[in-house]
Amino acid sequence: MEGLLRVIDLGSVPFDAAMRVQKECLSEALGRPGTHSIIFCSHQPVITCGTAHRASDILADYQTLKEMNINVRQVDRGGGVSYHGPGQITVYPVFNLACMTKDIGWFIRRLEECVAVFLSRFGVDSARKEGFPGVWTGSRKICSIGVGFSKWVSFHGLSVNIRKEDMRAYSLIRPCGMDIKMACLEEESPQAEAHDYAGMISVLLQSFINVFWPRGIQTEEIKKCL
Amino acid sequence: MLIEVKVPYLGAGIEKARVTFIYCRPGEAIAKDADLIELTADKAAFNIPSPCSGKIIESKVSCGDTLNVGETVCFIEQSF
Repeated sequence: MEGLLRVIDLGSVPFDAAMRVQKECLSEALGRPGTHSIIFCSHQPVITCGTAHRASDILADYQTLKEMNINVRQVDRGGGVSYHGPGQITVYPVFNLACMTKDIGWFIRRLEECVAVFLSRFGVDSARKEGFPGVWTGSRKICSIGVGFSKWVSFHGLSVNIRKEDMRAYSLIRPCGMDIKMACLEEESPQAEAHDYAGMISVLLQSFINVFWPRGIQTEEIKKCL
Repeated sequence: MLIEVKVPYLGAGIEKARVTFIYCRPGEAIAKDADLIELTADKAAFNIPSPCSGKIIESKVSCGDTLNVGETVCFIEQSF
């Protein structure tokens, strides 16, 4: 066993509240090497713009977004424009790479592997695409990745599309600045409907532990009052 | 003493990164570990912190520049 992984499940939460929790975890990780956090949540609808975004990648106008109650946030992660909504699971791994491997590509490839392992539990084959970070089922993207680092502690992370009723919102943007179709687990796997949010979080957490800490890590569940 | 700040090793296969934000400019004082610039590569944004306290004497980068690993970011006159 090496280190401590604090597990935080925020449930359905506004994006700004999850950002505050991430920044708290980031401060703690910088002060206590060996302590990592992983935050699970689903967001109320929001479009986030990473450091590589172009304004033209948001296809809907301001009035449409306002009527749909979708906020837009500029964020300090890599990548372009992304959508987050209630039909996704979003994961924010706040991991101290100074205690692991100081390698950005290594970290992103492992995030992709975590999602591939998660999807395989539902019988879904997925792959990564060289030069296009994320996880793909055929030509469609099922998981978007965008991260930030402060002194080799990661923040932001990934979102996996789960429920199909939330997929229409992707027509409002060019995800990651590309003209691509997005996939979701429910469309790819008949097994998905039998699992609720809590069950999926449990599978995802185990995937992260298996990939990042194959020898195991002590975990601690943390409750957060928002 | 003049300290040269370079783009650090970012990981296997990552040889370049783009400057997406500049926190501190020539003539400004900076504290040790405070952020100098933000770089973006491979879907990751990361800040380069100052290795020392001091004053930025010369910057070699502009927003939008693509930098190679090992390339000079700026020179800092270290203060004690």
